[in-house]
Amino acid sequence: MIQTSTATRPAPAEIDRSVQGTVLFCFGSAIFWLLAGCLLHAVAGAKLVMPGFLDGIGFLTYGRVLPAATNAIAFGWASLSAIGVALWLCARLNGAMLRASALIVSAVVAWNAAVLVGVLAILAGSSTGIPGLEMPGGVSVVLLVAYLPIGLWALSTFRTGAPGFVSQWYLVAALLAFPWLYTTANALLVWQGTPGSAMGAIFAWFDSGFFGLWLLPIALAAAYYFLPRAAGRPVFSRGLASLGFWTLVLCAGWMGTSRFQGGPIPAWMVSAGVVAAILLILPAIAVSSNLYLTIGDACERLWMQTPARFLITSAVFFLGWVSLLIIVTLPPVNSIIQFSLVNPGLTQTALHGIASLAFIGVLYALLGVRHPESTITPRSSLVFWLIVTGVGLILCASFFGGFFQGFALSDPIVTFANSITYAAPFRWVELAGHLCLLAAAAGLARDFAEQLLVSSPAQAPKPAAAQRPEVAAV
Amino acid sequence: MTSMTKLIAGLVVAVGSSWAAMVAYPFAKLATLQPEVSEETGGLLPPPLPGNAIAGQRVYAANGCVHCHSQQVRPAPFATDIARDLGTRQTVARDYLRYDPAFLGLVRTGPDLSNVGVRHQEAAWFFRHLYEPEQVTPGSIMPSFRYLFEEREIQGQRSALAVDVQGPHAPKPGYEIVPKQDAIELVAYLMSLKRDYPLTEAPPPPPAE
Repeated sequence: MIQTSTATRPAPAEIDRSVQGTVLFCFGSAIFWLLAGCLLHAVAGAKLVMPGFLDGIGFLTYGRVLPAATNAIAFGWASLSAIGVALWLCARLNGAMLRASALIVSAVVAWNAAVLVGVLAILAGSSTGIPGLEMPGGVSVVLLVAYLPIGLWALSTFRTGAPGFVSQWYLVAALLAFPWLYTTANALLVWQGTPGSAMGAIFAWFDSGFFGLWLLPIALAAAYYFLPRAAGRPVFSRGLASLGFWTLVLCAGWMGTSRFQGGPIPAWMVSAGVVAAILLILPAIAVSSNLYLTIGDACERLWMQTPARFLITSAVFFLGWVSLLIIVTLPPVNSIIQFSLVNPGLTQTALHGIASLAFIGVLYALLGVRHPESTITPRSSLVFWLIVTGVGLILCASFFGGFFQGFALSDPIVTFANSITYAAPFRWVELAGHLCLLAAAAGLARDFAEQLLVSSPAQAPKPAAAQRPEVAAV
Repeated sequence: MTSMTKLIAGLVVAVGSSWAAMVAYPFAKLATLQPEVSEETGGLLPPPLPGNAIAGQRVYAANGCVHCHSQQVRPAPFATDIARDLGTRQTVARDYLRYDPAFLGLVRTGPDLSNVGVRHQEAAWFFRHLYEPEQVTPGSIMPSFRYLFEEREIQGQRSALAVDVQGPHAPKPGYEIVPKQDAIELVAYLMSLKRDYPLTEAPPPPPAE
């Protein structure tokens, strides 16, 4: 199935050819889900500012459209593109050829079918009602079964050598964490119910882990892989990389319960969650400073390269997201904004500002193997700025609107109706942000289709990445 | 011990510690809480749910109500929930042991529902609010759940459950709007949301001076 021994290590171009079709299939279907998810999210956003819009229709009610959007984005777009990134990076870093591509492609087809059924089931009114886990139990079984060959193949590529590259640590963590998180959450919350407020703690562990232990590590693996290579320098500090990695995998699981301050779960669990969320500054600073010091004065040159621009901005968003997360987690602030627009806005920032930007950067790198021209193109620049603008609008709207709404919700003499009024203008801005993301998804889909059609693999020039991709960590 | 083994062992310890604390512990402790026996009435607290209310959880889940409504009353002085009359005391873990799942909620796009069954005790109010929210609560951005109701010709007497519709979606003359089974169950669930009983860990508030 794989070929990894050093003596028989295949050429990088051969490795790329063996995984390219499978990874592009992952990305192609992921882009479909990005479009679908952004469209559904825009519809949900429009319904908040125009309650009469598509009103009174069961499958288009806000409470169904919103989870359909978030599930399409989380499991369709983000997870499928994360799988694509992981497959490619595992193959390259470990010198493994993908010989069982039919099996992996079948698994990705099954994954897509399951997400389709899940999203339609949510719209049809078969949601579990558990945020982030709304798809019916049968769907999650199929997703886990489909993940099995993907995860096993990716992990099996590590069997020959020590994980010496920083990217490899993050890949191993993510590949092991996803089945752990998803099986636990489904076993305790979906396949069989867990009564009472225990559900809140278990859901919080899954939800923070889904981003912090699954999507974020793969985004960081991509950053640690491509940026040193593009800069032509080794990772600045292995010690900083190690600090960033271990503090992230520790904090990401613990921080979820910080959202239940004053809630019906034991106070020590909430306190542990708050401490973990604050400690998240350690990986954020370690990762961003390490990458910054690695890139150094090459930053201006890398900014003109499509993959690097996306990955650098993703790392900046990581630092910004953590900083804002810490501010809103501090108890005096949290007591005001806890149930406001702020937290959903930060979730969108993390998903699109960190994960989507990183994964799209990798996609452009993969397309760049076919088209070695790495300078930023007007089309990829447009996709980039639309995402950055969309995330920026959502973040500003949710942050400022959330504080207005939060103060209104906290003041006993302000009526609830006033809290809606205060938040209303910001919801329009949020909707504009979602429309930017939808336009970015459409632009990405067009770019992806055109680049695939312009050049078939047979016509593709010799891959630019013919050397060992990541410069060895110091 | 290879570095791969060390890496995996480290991951198991790091992630496993949070799994033990945030999954295993609440599953063992919070999910197995038992109701208290009331000293005053001898009844169980929290009281058992009627069958329709249990079924109503499915309707609440299916329509994503949790995406707009929380069900948590936070304590003073941390928050002003009690001053805003969301409840007379904070909600605690035992309050939720009858519910599966417990819809704690993370946003208040709509008001908190921990005690909506205390604030409104007429099923008719809930039916009408679900059918035409803007007419009942001017300025509300809640979607209409008209699809949980049906318009039918009045046969003899008007149904006792018929909704007193006053807005633009009023029925034709000779017709009435009545809730479907899903709406009946959803309203039973909403009316069951009352956290106004005393618990050992959440005693009633001291009487006002």
